[in-house]
Amino acid sequence: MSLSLVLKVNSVGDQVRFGGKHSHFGYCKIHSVFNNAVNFYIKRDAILSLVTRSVGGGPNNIVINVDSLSFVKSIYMDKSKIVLNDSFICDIESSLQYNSDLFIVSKDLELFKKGLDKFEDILRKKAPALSAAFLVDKRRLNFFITPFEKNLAYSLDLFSNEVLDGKLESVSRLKGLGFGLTPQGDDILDGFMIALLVYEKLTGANTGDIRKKIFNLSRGSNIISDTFLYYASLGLLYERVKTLVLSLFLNDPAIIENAVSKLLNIGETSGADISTGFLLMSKKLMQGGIEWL
Amino acid sequence: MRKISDLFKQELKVINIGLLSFKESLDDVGVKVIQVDWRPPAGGDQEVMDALKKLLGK
Amino acid sequence: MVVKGIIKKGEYYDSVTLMLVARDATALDGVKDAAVVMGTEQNKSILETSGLLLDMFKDASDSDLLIAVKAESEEAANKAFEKIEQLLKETRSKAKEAGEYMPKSLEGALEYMPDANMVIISVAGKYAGDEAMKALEHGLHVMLFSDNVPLNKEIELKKYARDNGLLVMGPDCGTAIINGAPLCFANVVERGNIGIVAASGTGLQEVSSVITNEGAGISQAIGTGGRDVKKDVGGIMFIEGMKALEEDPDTKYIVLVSKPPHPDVLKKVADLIKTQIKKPVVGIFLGGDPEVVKGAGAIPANTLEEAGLIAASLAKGKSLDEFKKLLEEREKEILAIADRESKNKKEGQKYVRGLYTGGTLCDEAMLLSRQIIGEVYGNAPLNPEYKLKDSWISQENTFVDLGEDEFTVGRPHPMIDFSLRNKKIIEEAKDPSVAVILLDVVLGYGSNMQPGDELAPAIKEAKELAAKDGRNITFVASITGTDKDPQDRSKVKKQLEDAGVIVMPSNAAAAKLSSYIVKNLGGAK
Repeated sequence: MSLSLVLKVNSVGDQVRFGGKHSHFGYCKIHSVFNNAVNFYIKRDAILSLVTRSVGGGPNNIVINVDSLSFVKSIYMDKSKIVLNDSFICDIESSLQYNSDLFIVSKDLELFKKGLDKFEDILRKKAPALSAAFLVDKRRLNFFITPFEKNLAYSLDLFSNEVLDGKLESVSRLKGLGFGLTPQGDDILDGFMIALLVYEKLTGANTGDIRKKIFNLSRGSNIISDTFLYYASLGLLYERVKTLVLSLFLNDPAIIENAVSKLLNIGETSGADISTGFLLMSKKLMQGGIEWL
Repeated sequence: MRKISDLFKQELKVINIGLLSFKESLDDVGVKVIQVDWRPPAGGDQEVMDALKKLLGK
Repeated sequence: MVVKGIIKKGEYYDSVTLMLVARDATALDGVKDAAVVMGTEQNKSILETSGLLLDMFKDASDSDLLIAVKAESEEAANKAFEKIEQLLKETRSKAKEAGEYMPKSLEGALEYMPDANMVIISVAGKYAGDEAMKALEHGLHVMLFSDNVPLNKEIELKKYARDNGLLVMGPDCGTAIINGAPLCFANVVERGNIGIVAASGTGLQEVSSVITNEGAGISQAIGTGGRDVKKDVGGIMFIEGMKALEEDPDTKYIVLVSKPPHPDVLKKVADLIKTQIKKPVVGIFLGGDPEVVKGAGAIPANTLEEAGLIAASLAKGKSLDEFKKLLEEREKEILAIADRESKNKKEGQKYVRGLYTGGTLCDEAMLLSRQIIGEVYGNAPLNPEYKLKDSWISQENTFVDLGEDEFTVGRPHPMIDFSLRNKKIIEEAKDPSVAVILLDVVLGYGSNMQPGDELAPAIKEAKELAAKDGRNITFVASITGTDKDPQDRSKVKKQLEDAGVIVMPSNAAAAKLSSYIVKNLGGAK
C-alpha cells in the first residue's frame, strides 16, 4: 500500500458542511495557493480555504496543523475527509468546530472607545507601508510613490469617505480598488461591516440591513473577496478579527497590541486594511450613531 | 580537541538554511554551498508519527 | 509616449509583490509609470486616470491580472515588460524550486556534502535556535542571521560551541568574512593579515572596506551579533573569536568593533589581551571612552575609519606616527572642502540632514557631529531629549536612521529599496534652512545592486529644485564597500560625483565635513 500521512486538523469552520447531499465528492478545483492558505472550489460559486494555524479559524476555513501550505498541488474531498497531493489525509472527524458568531458581554461604550484609541495608536505604528492605514495617518501617504499609486490612494480616500458620509452607492466604487487578491477597497468594506456588527451587538440597533445592502452593492466576480464580505454581512467573523474585537473590551493595552499584531499579519496588507475600515466606521458610529446611514 | 582556528585552514563549505539569496551570493564568489529546502516542522514529528500509527491501525 | 499592456489569466500574487514589481519597473530608464493589478472595474478607472487604460483591458475581469506600462519609447516599455515578467517568474519559481532539487534537512544536506563545515541559518527565529543546535551537534560552525532567537537559547548555543571548539556567529549577525568568503551582507574584500571580531554588522563592513581600500586585507572577520557583548551572554563568542584569531597564523593584527561592551565583558577582553593575545589589537567601541580601550591594552580608535586606517598602516609596516600624520592631512583636507562649500550658501542655509540606511553608521555620524555642532535631532538620537516629534519631519540638524522599524514595516530595508530615501532627499531640498544633505551608501551582497543609478536622479532633482530658489545644497556621501563588490565602489563613486556629490573616503570623514560646513554657517547649537 502507498503510505499516507495524517495531518491534524485544528478546526473546521461552522459554515463548512461535510456529508450533506450537496457535498462535493472528488478532486476540487484549486483557486489559488499561498504560503498560509489554499483556496479551492466546492461548487462553482463557493470556496473553502485550507489555512495554517497562523491564519486561524473562520466560517469557511479548515485549519491544518502545518506552518506552510505552499506544497499543496491537489485536493480530493469526500464526505469524511480531505486528501492533499494524494498522500496527506486531513483528519476532519476528530477536529473541533470553529464558531464564527460574535458574542460580546460588555455593553460599555466608554471602554470600547478607549480600546479604539489604543487600537489606533498601534495601527499608526505597525501597519505595513502600502496599506490603507494612510486613511488614519495622512503622513503615511509618503509611502505612495508612483503616479499610479498616488491615484490609487486618492481614490481610496475619496470613496471610503463617501461611504462613511452615508453615500452607500460609493460602495461599488470602493470595491475592487487596489492590489492583490483582496484589494484594499474590499478589505476596508469588510472592516466597515465588522464595525456595524459590533455596534449592533453593543447598542441593539439593527445594522443587518445596511450590511446586506453593502454586500449586495459590492458583489463582483472576485469569489474570494465576495466570500469574505458575504460572511461579514451575515455577522460571521474570522478568528483573528474576533479576537481583536473582543480584546478591545479587556482594558489591557498588551492584549490589544497582541491581537492587533496578529490581525496585521494577515495577507500582505489585508489585516491593516480591515483594521482601517473597522476603525474609521467605529469612530463614525461612536460620534453620530447609525441614523446618517 | 577541535578548535575554531582549524576552520581557517579548511576550504569553506556551506549549508544554507533559509534565504536563497545567501546561497546565490556564495555561488557568485565560487564557494561550495548547498541549499536546504527547509520547512517548518508540521506539528512536530511525534504528532505525525502518532497519526501514522493510528492510520496503520497500530 | 507609449502605453502598452498585457493580460494574464488565473495568476494570483500578494498585493505587496504586485506593488513592488510595478515599482521596480517604474524605476527603469524611460519608464514613467507602471501598474500590475487585478482587472476590477475600479482599478480600471484608476488606470484611466493615470493614462494607463488600454482598449484590450476593457473586457478583462476581476480575476485577470493587468499589466500596464507608460514609457517614453517602445523599447523602454518592452524592457519594463521583460523586467515585470522576470520578477513575477522569480516569485513563482522561488516557491517551486524549493520542492524538487534540494535536500529537506540538514542531515540530507550532509549526505550530499559530508565535509561541510559551516551552516548559515536565516529561518524564523523560533526555529533557528534548534537548527543551530543541530548543526553544532554535527560539529558544524554556525552563522545565525535570524533575529528573535531567545536569549537563553543564544547562551545555550554559545556555551555548547565554546566547549566544542565551534563558532556561533549571531543571532542577528548580518555579516562575516570567513576564509575570504563574504557571508550574508558582506563586502568583497582583499585577503590579508588583519582579523576582525565585531559585534556590529555595518561596523564590520565599514572597517573591512576601509582596510581594503587602503591596500591592506582581511584574514577573517567574525561577527558575534550585538547581544554577545551585553551582560547576559558575557561576550562568549567575542572572546572565543579573539582567541581563534590569536591562534591563526595568517592573522597578524586584530581589530575589535563594537558598541561599548558591558563592563564585565570589557574586563574579560582586557584580561585576555594582557594574558594571551600577543598580536597588536586595535579597538573601536563606538560611543565609549577611548581611554578604556587603551586601559584594556588595545590601540584606541575614535572612528570606524580610524580603526581601519590604524590596522592598515600597521599591516603596511608604517608606524603609528605616520598614521597620525595621515590623519592630520585628511583633517586639513576636510576643513578646506568645508570652507569652500560654506561660501556658496544663501542666507539662512545652515543645517545638515543626515539620511542614513545603516544604523551603526548613523550612530557614528551623530557621535562625531555632536563634538563639532552640538546635539542633533533624530528618530533614534543619542540624547533622548532630541528625539523628533515626528520622524518624517526634520528640524535644525537632523540625522534619521531609515532602517528603524517605523520606516521598514512591510517594505524592504532602505539599503535595498531606495525609494523612501529618494523621496526624503527631495523633501529636505525644499527646506530653505538646509545647507548639507549627508548620505551613506552601503555596497556588498544583499544591498541595492544599482545604487548610483537610483540615487543620482533624486539628487539631480533636489539640486534643481534648490537652484530655482537660488540655493546650492552640498551633498556629502560615503560609500561602504570595495571595487570588488558586485556594485563596484569606483563606478558608484563616479556616478555620484557626476551628480554633484562630494564622496568622502569614510562615513566619519563625511560626517565631519558636513558638520564643519554647518559650523561655518552658524548652524551649531
